[in-house]
Amino acid sequence: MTHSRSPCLTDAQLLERVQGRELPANVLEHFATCPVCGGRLHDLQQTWALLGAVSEPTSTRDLTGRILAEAARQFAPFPWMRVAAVFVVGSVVGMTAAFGVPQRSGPIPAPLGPQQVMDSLGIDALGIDPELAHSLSDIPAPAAPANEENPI
Amino acid sequence: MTTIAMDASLQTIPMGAPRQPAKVGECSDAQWMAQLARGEMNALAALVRRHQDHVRDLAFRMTRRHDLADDITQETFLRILKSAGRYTPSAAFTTWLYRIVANLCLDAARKPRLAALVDADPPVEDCPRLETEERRQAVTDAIEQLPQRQKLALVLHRFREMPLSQIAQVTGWTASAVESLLVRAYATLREKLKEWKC
Repeated sequence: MTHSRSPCLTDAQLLERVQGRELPANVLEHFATCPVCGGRLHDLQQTWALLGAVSEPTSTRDLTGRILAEAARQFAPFPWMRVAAVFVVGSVVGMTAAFGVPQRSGPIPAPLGPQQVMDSLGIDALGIDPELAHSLSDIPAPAAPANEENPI
Repeated sequence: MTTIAMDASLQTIPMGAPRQPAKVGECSDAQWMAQLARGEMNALAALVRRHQDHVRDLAFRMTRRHDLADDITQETFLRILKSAGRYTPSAAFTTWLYRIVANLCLDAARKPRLAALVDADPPVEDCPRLETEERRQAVTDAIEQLPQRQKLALVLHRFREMPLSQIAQVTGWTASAVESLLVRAYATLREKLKEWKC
């Protein structure tokens, strides 16, 4: 049997041809007259058809909402704030777990009385009237020495 | 909003593949990507609606698990979101999209736990005839037993009907490597399925 002198189809050309793609005219001319190429293509077409005859169950679920939700979660504005907050909270919890809550040692001191407050503030030393100081205190003021320059 | 009649990238989708061309008044993939780069999340929703079925179909054919296919679909679009600012429409959007899916599928197959599970949950389909179910199972098993690279090339060639040049772009392999993988894959399938010829 005679056929075109152009070379036989390459594997790439056969793989394109089985998809139904057009080939150059000289290739098609060869293909029409070459039983070897015809047989190769026939084998390939049979396998091709067998694969195509088996439909696959495909999911028709719309993933748009799921993908957008995940995108919003992963690409939320200021994600560093979330990271920083987690870091701060984690640090506080870690420090507390490691060292415990700070405790005051010894008994809590009794609150100061008014006189003690005035003494601690040095009100007498500032020349405040002892009577006035007395009126602010439950403790009797000491008697002031009377003299002529200072009758009070 | 700027509109075009037909997305140039969609014109590269191979024959026979399910396609959802941009209608008049709809944005192209490249336009959606530009909007996504500006932080407009409705663009992501549009891209998901347009391509999720194709992505999930490829992922399912590679993993044989619907839940894993859903996860890969989700991760694919999240990666698109992350990379939106760097996207340049020099290549077809679908080529870039399928490249992400292909890498995720191959990654999933490399993980031992996932790889073991991939075979453990074959899909169930209602078939009116036992012969059809047996044939479907035989074909499914034959494809499953292919090495991962052969399987990916086969799925892109047979079920996405990509030309070899686009498969090479998607996978990052040379065209001759793709050709070799496909020849071996079809030869293996022909041998294993010779009793199931149509």
